[in-house]
Amino acid sequence: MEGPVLREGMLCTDQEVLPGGLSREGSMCERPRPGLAIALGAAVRDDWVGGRGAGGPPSFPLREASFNEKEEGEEQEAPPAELEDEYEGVCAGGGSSEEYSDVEDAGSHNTEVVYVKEGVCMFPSPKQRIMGRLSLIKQYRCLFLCWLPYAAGASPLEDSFSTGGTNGSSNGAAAAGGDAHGGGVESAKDRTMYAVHPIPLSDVRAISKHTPPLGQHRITITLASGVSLPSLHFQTGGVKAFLSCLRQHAPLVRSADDPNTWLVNDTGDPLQRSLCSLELTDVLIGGPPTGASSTFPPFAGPLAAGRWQAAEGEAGLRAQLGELIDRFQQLTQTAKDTASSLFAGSVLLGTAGAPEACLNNGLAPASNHTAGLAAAAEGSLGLEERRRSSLEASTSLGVFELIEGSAAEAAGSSPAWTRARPPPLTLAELNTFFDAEGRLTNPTAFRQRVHDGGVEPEARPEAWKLLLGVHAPGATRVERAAAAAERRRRYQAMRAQWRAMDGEQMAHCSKWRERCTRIDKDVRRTDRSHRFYARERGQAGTMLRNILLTYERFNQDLGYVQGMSDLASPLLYVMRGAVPTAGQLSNDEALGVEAEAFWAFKALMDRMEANFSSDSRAMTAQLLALRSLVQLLDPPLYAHLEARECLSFFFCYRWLLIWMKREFAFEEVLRLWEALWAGVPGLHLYLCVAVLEHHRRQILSSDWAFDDMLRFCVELSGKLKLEPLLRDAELLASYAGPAESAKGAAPDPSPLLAAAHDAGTAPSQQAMSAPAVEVTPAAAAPAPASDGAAAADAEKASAEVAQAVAKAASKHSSPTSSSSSDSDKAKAAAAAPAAAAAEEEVQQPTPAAAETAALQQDIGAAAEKLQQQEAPAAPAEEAPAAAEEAAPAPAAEEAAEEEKAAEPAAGAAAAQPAKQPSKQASRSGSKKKKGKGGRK
Amino acid sequence: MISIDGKQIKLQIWDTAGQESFRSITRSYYRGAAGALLVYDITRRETFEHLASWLEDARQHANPNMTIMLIGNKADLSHRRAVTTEEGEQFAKEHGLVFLETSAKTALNVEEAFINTARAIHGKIASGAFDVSNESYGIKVGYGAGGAGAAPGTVRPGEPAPQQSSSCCS
Repeated sequence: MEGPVLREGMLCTDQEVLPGGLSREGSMCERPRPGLAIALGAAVRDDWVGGRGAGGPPSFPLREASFNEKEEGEEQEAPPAELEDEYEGVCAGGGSSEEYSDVEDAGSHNTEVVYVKEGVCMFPSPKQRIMGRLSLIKQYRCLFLCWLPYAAGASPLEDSFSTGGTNGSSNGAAAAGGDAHGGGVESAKDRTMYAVHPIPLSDVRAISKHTPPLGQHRITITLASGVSLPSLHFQTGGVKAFLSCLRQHAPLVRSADDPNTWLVNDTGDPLQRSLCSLELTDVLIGGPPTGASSTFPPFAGPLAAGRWQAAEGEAGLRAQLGELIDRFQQLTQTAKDTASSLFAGSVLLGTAGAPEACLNNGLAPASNHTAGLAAAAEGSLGLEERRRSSLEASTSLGVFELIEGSAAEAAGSSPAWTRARPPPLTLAELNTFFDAEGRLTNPTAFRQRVHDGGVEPEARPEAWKLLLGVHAPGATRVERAAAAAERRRRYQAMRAQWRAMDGEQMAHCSKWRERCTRIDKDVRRTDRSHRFYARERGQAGTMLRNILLTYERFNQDLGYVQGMSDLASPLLYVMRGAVPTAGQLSNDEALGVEAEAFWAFKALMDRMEANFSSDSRAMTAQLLALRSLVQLLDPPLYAHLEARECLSFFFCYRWLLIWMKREFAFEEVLRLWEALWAGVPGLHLYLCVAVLEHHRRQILSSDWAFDDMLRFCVELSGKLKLEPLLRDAELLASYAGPAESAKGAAPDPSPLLAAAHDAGTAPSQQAMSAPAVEVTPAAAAPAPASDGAAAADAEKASAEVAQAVAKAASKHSSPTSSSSSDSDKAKAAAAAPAAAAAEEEVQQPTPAAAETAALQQDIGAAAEKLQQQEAPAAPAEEAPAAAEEAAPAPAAEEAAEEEKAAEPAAGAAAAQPAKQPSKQASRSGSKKKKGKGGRK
Repeated sequence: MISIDGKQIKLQIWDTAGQESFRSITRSYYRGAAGALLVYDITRRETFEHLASWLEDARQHANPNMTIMLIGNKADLSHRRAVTTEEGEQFAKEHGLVFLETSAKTALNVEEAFINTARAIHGKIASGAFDVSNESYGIKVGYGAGGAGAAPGTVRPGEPAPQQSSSCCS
């Protein structure tokens, strides 16, 4: 599972990453110099507090002298920095923090060192290295960034210090905030020349991070003037921590052009800013599985590198997970509000046809509800009016501007989304994606097409092989045929391996026997109800068994784990579709089908295998991510679950484990997986959120303990409607996901499917092992730009995909896109009052508390919003509670509606709370074992 | 729904079959379970040998008062028996479990397995070992049981039944 070989290879570095990306070994960096903190504080006071210090611009030699003084006195006693958590170092608690408090005592009460990182160095020239301390200082709510070199001689490694370092001197001068000084030849002066004296963050335009898998991580700071400072190297890692710390204090916006660059003072759309700060997809992106390299050759390097970071043990994992959660928690209220409003908007405007679309109506107070229905009934909500209401929403909430904007943009560029949903991709159309020699010319467009419309069964075998990467990127038709023959040969050989085992050998392989038993057992109960597998010990079952047994031999480290049969079954079914023969296949045909299904399964497992790892880290990480998403997008639901100790989200385990395989009908699963493979990273997580949101009324109106919740979720199986859920999941992903506008993402001329593959699908694969990789966006993002054109392509493609989804969202919200089903109208009706209310809110500034409360409204809380208009003085803290209280009231009404609408079974089943009269309970044949229902 | 001593008892049963590989999930079932059936396959010795680890898992994650039944399944396949009845009894005795051999195929003792479990739980309630107002014991009192001093009407033992045999669970 862990790919030990690979990891060994990658681990030949002296660094051992600790929680938060810190290094245990500390490499060549030295101990902290507590004195510096004082000096730093002094520097800050001198320069920025004003009036406290020397008044005029302080001279560097002076400050340097003070450093030296401190150094001499304290260097010997300085505690080792290696194990010190940087945050500890920052705040109170650590040994060195006393110094900081000294600083604060001595200095201004308003000065706070919020971040310190030791051993950050600058390489003005290849031979030169200047060690220093990077810090962030907050003063009077202004953040200053500061890097000051240690005193000369402090680091023995700097003996090679050259006096001629001029490479960065001009930058260094700029870095010093324009302070004029004579860059002398003396080393002390030279090093101070590079010092980044506290510069207000407002003077910083951008921070780029470079986190090569093997080299040192570094950041480059670009000032507003356009000048870039020499890179700061984080010898012990911690770029991520730096950025996350920075993010707490300043809005960072990820650049649309370069995912490794954050714009510090982007004054653009605040919505976009807050969305960027979520960086949900980045958070959710994990490391690739072992063997990903074979599928994605261009990314073998960086991806493999991500892997060993992944494998840094529990402590690292926990810290990463912690950070993941932290990041969500650290979100500004604005971000949360925006996201919530967005989510509300998405549902208001986006879920055409969803049975729960009337949810908003249901939530609204009865009067509004009736009014809304009446409006819908009168048919008075024409397209124009609906458009107007969405525009109102845009102006009032400040939320829909993005939608409208990109809708306009999208109108020209992506005709696919001007339709509600294109028809599935046919074989004939699939062929248009190939050039004369059979190369896939535009993988991005192909994926988009699949994502939008799905694939006809006839085209599935080829389309899936392309999506999964079974077909090499850029291969011609002839090459693909040759590769298929080779795959067949290899599969046959591997299958022969276990078939050749004789009885005595078997007797010595207890593990193999055990897994055989398990596979036999599971094959018999996989998709039994589907006609393809219906016949016990029929050909399909045998083929599935062969595939699973062969995979067990192929990947003995992982072995067979339950759930794999669920993943293999649809693949076999689809690959079987490539052979026109009806009924029983000949042995030869069966071998061919098995081989293709096996390799498709192997490719899928490359993405999914982390799910099956015995340490269940990937699953834990996904459950945590899911929890965070819910917390972010639906605080009342989160609070509800929290109060009932349901935050483990284990009830979503099966959804995540096998990507909803058991939740939808077989044919729908095929469509679902296509969409997920071709969609944005982490889409399956958003899908889970969407499912919960679609049932939030039921959940909120019930007092379910964990097992009830589990039962509820298990019983949703087979009752879910795929398309509305998928659409909402995409909306969620597009709002919360990378908000890069991707304007510059030209259609990818390169036929490298892998590029698109990585951008579009691999991330979801990576998400599987979310804990693994550094949670930092950039590490997980396709690849550092420096890693080659392919990586750049991938980034573009990724951005393109993101954009496409955003377009989708906008299209959904635009009046032309959706059918005018009843629920749609009803929804629009619901949208109008909400929008109006929100506008009212803006026009008549309500007390701050009420405003906050109103902003806290989540998806279903449009009604509360209205209520709050009536009672604008409602304290902010009461808002979530109010939302919760209000929820149960219209529950019955809604339940009835839902039953009518589309989900009678779900409604009925779920509406039976655990606490009920035993007479009623007696009707449910409870003695019967749950059997399949309880599985996974 | 079963009746014990004139009390209606509703059993809510969770089957962990199909997810033994995911202990984190099965563990989540233990919480709030009042009883458990620990099942092995008398024709496959390894399933018997795994009992200890399952039992430890259950003891560790469930409430200490959980009633655990030890079930040797596939009793109809006595010609392929790999674990004797005595061994099963011995194991149960050592660990304080209630033992039964069953056959899902012939329905031998299947009812009894559940009824005995429910009876044992009921006994514990009656003797006060369970605080029925505390739902973490996996017991909820039904509304219908509100009569004067009536014993709990609805018992909801979560039933983690680590199915190590193949026939009865699929």
